[in-house]
Order: sequence, then structure tokens, then C-alpha cells
Amino acid sequence: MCYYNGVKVTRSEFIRLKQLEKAIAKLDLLNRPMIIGFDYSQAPVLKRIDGKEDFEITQMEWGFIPPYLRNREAVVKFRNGYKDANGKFHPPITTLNAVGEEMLQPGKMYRDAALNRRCLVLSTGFYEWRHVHPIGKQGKPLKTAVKYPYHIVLPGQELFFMAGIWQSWTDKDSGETVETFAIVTTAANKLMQQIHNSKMRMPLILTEDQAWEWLFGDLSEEDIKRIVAAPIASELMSAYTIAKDFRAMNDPATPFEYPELTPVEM
Amino acid sequence: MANQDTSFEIIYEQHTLTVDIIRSGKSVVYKITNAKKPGVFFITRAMDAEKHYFWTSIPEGRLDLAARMGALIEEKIKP
Repeated sequence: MCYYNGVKVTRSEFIRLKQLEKAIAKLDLLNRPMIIGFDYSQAPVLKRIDGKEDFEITQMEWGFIPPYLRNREAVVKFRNGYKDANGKFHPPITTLNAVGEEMLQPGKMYRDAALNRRCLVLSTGFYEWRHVHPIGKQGKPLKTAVKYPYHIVLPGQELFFMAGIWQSWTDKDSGETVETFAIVTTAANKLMQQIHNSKMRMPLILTEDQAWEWLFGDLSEEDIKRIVAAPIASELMSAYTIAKDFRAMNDPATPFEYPELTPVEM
Repeated sequence: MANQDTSFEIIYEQHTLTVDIIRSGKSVVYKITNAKKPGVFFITRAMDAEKHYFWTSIPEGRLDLAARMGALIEEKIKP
């Protein structure tokens, strides 16, 4: 006999309840309405179990940490930028995203992970800002853009997969080991060219077949390049505007209309 | 993996709470949320060693609240 929540239960019931705890923990992870990359927060990631066509859902730190960084202090400098002893400023390096077309180039910090440690990042939708230059009094577009946030989803797919790559990192001073990841990006498709019009990029969203290949396939460089070069079709995506202070909202994905905004072509 | 199924509302101490029914294998879990407050509470019906049903929180720790919420849910879903 065992006790669950103070009540005596059979072993089989105890095991069932413990299994439910695990299932709920995963669901709870997935139910987080929004993860903001610059928090360097934990996010749910599907990672292959070594040597098997099976995976685990695990939490990883979003923001790829290259193994050569010695400790957390070095990570903070790497992410925020710093002045060295000679007063020279070293700009911050953002590793939330890995540019898919470049990550395999020799010497790139992502290369080994792209070849050997690919993962799937679970998403229910993501956020991007559209830059719109209002027309000024002289009839010309103003230099300063007005930014409108969008929530982008895949209709009919409550959850979808983004391609990721991961890296285990150990703080050589404290011994802390964490798994970190970056989301692989690709060229924006027709819809995302209109929304993320400042950078013309989007996450590499994978179909179920591609996700399987990404996670379990013995992919060559050419295979990876082929997947990266084929962004998901616009027709499979949908987008709508949300409030500009969406980050502070309980449900950041609540639609919000901007009457002055020309709609994007879907 | 657990799948969300359907939802309904219950009133608890003058608060309207949303209950989502989640099926995980052969088990059913009730996910309770309050739109006005962050946080989520999961409960399920379990069987004790004497084969009597009781409500429990998932994970452990909130047995009394699980019993109160469970009673409201039973009222709502009884045929």
C-alpha cells in the first residue's frame, strides 16, 4: 500500500496517479501562453532519446550557449555585451535563433548541433511585429515606423513544431549543467514577408513528416539545407493583430483590431 | 500525452471557474482555472484502498480543496 495526498491507495492506483502527474506536467508546460526569448526562460522541447526512435519532452533554456563559455558571468557578458580591460566594447550576441542557411558553415558555433543535436520546439503560435511607415503631411512615408504585433498560428493545428538545435553546457566553476537551444530560422514566406517585414525571416516550421526526419533522420548537410530551404506555405498559416501591450496580458493572443491598418494578404 | 476534451463552468465562492476535461490514457483530469487570476489547479477522481472514490489534487498537496471542487464538478456532470 502507498499514500497519495494522505489517502491510502493501492500500488497500481499510486502508479496511475504518478503517471498522471507526469502527463499534467507536460501539459502545463505546453499551456504557457507566451515565452519571451529575451527572458532566456525555459521552454518545452522534444529531444531524441539516444539510439532510439523515441523522444522525451524536456525543458531547455532558450538561448544557445556555446561550450567555450566558462561560467555564467561569461554567458551574461556574451548575451549583454561588455567592455574589455582596454575599454573596447564587445557587442551582445543573440543566440535565440540560428540562421538556417548559415548554421552549417565551417566555424559556426551551431554547426555541430545542427548535424548531431536537432530538436523540436513545441509551439501553439508565435508573435512578430509588422513595421508600417505612416504617410506624412507631404505625402511621403515617415522614417519612423509604427509597429503592430501579430499572433501567427497554424489553423487546425493546436500544436506545431519548430526546428531547433540544442547544446548541453556546463558552468566550469559551479558544475551546473543546462541544456540550451536555438530556434532555426528560414526565409519568410509570402505571409511572413508582410508581417516580419523588417527582417524577412521566420521560424523553420516543420510538417509532421519533416519533424520526424529532423528528430530521427540521419541527415546529411544537403538534407538539412533542403529542409531549411523549404519554408512552410503561407496557405497553412494564419495571422491576426493583437494588443500592443500583449506581453502584460493574461491571454496575449486575444485579437485586437487596428482600424488604420491595411490587412495582410493571406 | 494528455488531450484536452471539453469544458464547462462552476461557481466556487462567488468566482466563476472554468473546468477543462482532459483525458490521459484511461484517466480523466479536471483542469480548473480562474480567468481573473493566474494559475491552474488539476484534480482527478481516485480510488482508495477500500475501493471508495475520492478527489485528489495532481500533484499531491491540496486534498481538501480537491474534494470541494470535485463535489461541484460531480454536481455539474452527473447524468
